[in-house]
Amino acid sequence: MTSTSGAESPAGSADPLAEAQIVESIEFWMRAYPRRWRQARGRELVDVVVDLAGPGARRLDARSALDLVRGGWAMRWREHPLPHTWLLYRTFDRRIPVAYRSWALDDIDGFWYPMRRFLGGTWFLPLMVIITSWPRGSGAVPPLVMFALMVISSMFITPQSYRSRARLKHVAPRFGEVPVEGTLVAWDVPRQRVTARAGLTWTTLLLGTTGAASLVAALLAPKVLLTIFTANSPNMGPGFGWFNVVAPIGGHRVVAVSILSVALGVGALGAVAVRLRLGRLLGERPDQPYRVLRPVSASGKLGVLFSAMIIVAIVWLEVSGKIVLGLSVVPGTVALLLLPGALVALLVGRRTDTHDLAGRDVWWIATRGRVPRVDQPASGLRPSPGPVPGSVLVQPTDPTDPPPATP
Amino acid sequence: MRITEQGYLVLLSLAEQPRHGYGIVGAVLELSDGATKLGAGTLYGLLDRMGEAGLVEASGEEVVDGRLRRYYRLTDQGSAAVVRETARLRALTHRARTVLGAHLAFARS
Repeated sequence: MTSTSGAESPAGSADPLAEAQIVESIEFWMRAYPRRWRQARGRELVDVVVDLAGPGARRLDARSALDLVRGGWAMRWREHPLPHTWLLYRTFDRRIPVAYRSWALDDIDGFWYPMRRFLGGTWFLPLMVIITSWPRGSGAVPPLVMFALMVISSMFITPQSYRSRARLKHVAPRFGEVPVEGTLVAWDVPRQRVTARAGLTWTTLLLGTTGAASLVAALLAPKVLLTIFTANSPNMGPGFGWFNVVAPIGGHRVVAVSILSVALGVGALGAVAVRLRLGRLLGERPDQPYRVLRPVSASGKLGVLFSAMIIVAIVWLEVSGKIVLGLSVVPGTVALLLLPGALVALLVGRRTDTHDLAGRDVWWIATRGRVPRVDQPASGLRPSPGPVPGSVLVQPTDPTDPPPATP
Repeated sequence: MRITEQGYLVLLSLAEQPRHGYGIVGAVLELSDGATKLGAGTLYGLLDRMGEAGLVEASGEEVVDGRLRRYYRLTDQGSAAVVRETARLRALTHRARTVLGAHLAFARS
């Protein structure tokens, strides 16, 4: 085959460091191409660009970089759905036509997918109105800032199962469609769970931050919202009515601190129950053949940090008097209820051999007092081998099958 | 599919023999007498569009010096397209010569 290639390509680079640097540079600019295209053809493209750059080149020149970006975006533009198809898909989650399934898979697997879906939907509008009309003192959070926070939040509050459901809906063929080679078909895959140790560590971090921040707000916030019931409302004239006023917190601080203290006390009692339940049931867990354990994902960690930042920002607004005390008390109460139990579970997990324990098992045992159920396989997608005779069709592997014997 | 000058040169380079990406760039440079130096982004855009139009197809791949080489060749449809385009250009050249001949004769008179 080499004799038919035409122009002889330069031999491999004599300077491996230079080649590694230029490959890194090419891969950066090649991100203009759709993810799926990069997976299928990326290596070939990189090798051609390295050859074109010449031996010893460490960085891609501006002309070649521009050419890659232009080529990548032209590719994205060519395979993008038509406007009305895209609008129906994005806004109403209408199933994408077959011709655009590959595009949809890239879209669903993309990092920004939750945010795209959020912006494409309309359900957030009523929620935004409710939140921006939240009772407040002087210097309220501007609606635009609140909206921006909600858009960013959508990246973290969207569960991963959302993506897998979207994949099955838009990409997997339905009954009656003829699968061709490469068609992504539904397949049983092991269910992913976060390990108890990693999950509890990050959960405790969030609960601890939220609980401590809300206590600070309850102790230091200067303003509170009071509802005054009156026989003569200033807005409604004579007759029974009420109105809200922003007032110095005074003795009402005791109420907020009491709510949080009671939550912490109830949480401590719950922690005793959690300790007993874990001690009794941890050893009785069933085997989980359809499960794989994983650490907390990068987006999960970012979600925890982002949520903690939001709580701290709210507390700062309350403590500085820009808004009245209240918004932080609700998550603070929930956090202080759960925090002692989470801490106890984390300590128990660290002391005992629980390498196969999932965070979900801990939640199940702690809240129900029963042995966790066996996870069922999840639905995933994998390329179909195509319409080949049944005798040679690769059969799905059962996760419970023993591994193939090694020669 | 409308065949651009760059597309025509790519088809022409494959008419001789199957080539990999780097080989096509070199052949196009030679065919155009150094006037057309294809970038990799442009080349793969053309190859993808021509592949979708059924003019070219992959004909195998190999790894040489650690580099992946995927070879492309013309399909029958691609061969017909390049012959058709060459005939069109030949007819255009003929008409251009006629027009220019008349123009030069007019200028001399």
